[in-house]
Amino acid sequence: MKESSLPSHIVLIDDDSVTNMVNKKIIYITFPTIRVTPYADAAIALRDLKHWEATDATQLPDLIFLDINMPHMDGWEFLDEFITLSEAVLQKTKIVMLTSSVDINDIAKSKTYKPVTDFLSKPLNKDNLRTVLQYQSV
Amino acid sequence: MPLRNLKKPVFIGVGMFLVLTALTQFLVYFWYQSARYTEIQRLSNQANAKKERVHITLTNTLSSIRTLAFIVEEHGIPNDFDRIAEKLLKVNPLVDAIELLQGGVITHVYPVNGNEAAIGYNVLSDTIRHRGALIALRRKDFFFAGPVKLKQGGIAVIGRQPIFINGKFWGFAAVLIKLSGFVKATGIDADSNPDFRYQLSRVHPDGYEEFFLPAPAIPNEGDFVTIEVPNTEWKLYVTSLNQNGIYHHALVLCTLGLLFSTVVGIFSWYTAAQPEKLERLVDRRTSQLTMEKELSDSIINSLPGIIYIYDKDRKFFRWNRNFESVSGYTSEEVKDMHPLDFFEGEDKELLRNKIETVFQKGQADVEAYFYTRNKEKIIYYFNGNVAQFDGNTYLIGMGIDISKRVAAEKDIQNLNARLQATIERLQARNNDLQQFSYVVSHNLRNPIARILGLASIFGDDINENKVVVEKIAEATAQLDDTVKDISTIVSARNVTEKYEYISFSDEWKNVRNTLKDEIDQSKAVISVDFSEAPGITSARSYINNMLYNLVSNAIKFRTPGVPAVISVKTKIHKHGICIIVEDNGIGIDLAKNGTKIFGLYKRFGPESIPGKGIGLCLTKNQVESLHGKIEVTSTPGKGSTFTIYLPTA
Repeated sequence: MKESSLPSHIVLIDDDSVTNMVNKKIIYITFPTIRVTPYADAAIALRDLKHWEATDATQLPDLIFLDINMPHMDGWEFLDEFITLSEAVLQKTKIVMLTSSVDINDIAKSKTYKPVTDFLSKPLNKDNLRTVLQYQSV
Repeated sequence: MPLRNLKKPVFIGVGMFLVLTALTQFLVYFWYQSARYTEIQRLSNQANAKKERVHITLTNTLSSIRTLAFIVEEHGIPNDFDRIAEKLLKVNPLVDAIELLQGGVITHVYPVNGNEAAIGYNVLSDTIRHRGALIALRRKDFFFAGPVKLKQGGIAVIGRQPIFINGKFWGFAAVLIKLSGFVKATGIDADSNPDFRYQLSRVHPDGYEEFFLPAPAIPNEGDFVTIEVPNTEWKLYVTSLNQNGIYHHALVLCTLGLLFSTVVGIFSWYTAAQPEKLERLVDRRTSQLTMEKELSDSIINSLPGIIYIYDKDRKFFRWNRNFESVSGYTSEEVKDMHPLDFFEGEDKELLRNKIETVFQKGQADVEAYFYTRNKEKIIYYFNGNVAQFDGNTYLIGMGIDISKRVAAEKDIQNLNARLQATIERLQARNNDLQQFSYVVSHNLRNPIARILGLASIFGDDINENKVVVEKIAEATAQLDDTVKDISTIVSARNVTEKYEYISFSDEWKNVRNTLKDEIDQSKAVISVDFSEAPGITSARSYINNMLYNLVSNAIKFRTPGVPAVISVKTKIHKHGICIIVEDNGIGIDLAKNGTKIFGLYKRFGPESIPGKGIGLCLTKNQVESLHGKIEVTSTPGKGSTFTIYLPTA
């Protein structure tokens, strides 16, 4: 795998701090060079994305791991806001759903959002991380 | 029958022919006779007229010979016989010659010229010709003899006047009249009258008739009249040319009469045959109609439904046997009934309209209860059609007993309703279960995923490993809680408890005790009213839990800074009782959350308010396991009302 095809920045959005901690660690173990930014609140993640969009597009993540069931703003609400961002953001940033849900309705619904490229079941591990990243890089 | 039919017109025809023939022939015969009679009358008249004329003509000539006879009687034979004779001839031009006979011998004749042969001829000695002279002698008066062939030639009529001197026969004075001149003078020649024909005969003593005029002497056919001419031996015959005309006329009339009779006979036969033909036609049509009626009768009687026909006045005209057997009315009764007599209640008005519709639009159908004589009602499907026959408008109706179908339909409807209710219940249950399984899978997988994730980062870093193990322990505890919750919810769906009578006020006391701290802390004002429905036979712990959860939620989600006012009451409703818990709390946006509020681990309202999202889910499951249902109405900022409907056994 070429280093250049790897994403440089990944954002994690999950209300469970343990999950974020574990996922960050796994990404670090697998691809230590990737910058990882975890968020417990989707609204704050969205705020930062808008900030990067406005100030420095290079800061924008290549990939977001997004949970669905979250208080305050859930995954769907986040997606609804995300798709209203500029074309530059949508071109660069892809989204992978990472959730404990096994509901096929959720899988079907996620596919209606263009930026969503994959749907993963928790927990994230080295294997599915590699698979997703290869996919992302193509 | 057919023989009679065939004979009768022929009889009439022939009879008519015969009668008319007889009548016409008789009439013709009668006419013929009368025409003949008229003709004979005419002939007689003519004959008399002619006889008179002949008589007068002869008498006129008589003066000549009388004058001569007088001269001889007074003076003897005149010396100047020729001069006297000449004068006499001048007076009477018809006379051709005058003779004087002494005894029977012609002594003088004038004119002598042409008559010389007569001198010296003794008429009395001529046995063939002396008859006329002898008759005159016997009569002692004149007599016309002849016509005779003259000694001197020619045919003439001779009138002789006997002359007596001193009572002693002396001789005759005679005149000669040529027949041709006589005929002309009397007008009995063929030329003088085209209409009549005459014949003159001299009747001899032996009866032999001598005819003098040209043929035909006597008409061979037809009528003629004869008349004797006085002072002669003559018979005058008169006939007419008209004779054949009458006969031919009669013949033509005969033929016409025969023709007429034949025509009338044939016409009569034909006319007489018409009714027979018509009758035969009618017979044939009648038998056809009878057959058709029998056929239609057997059809309408064999049909399963009831059939009836009535007119615009709603008077029954025909109906089938089924109509009587179903309705229980006799044929006599139906006759006087009105179609609406078979219906009652609302159906009566409905039928009235439908019947009107049939008469106006031609067709209508309806389902209605048909009432029999015994007031038994049977649901029927009626179909009415309008029909025109015999110049009248009728309604032809058919009714089919649909009670079985209607019963089956009702069964199906009931079944469908039950099925629909079951489907709805099952769908709701399925929805609930899906939600439940979704939440369960999420809440089970969440800690498991966390444990798996934590285990995967367990490594060399001892400090980190310590945190990982702690987190694994936490997740495992969470997993345990979830399993316990699920077990609680699932067990709530099957009532294992005994049903007993529960007094709401008693049970409320227990709940109030349990919630004592929360009530005191929140200073909530709770009013209770169980007067309408004081108790229920049910599962005690379920009722307890319902009151607990609803009231504890009402306290928990009170509007900050406003004293909680909560009302708990029971009421009676259609199928049982209901428990109503009303608050003035923060309310729920139902448009957004809908029935999710009853889902497992569904939490609404601020994060600060503790709770797992179990209470309402458990309550809903318990209500449903008691075959009840729970509803909520709410206005955000104003408050919520939860109503639990419970059926009473």
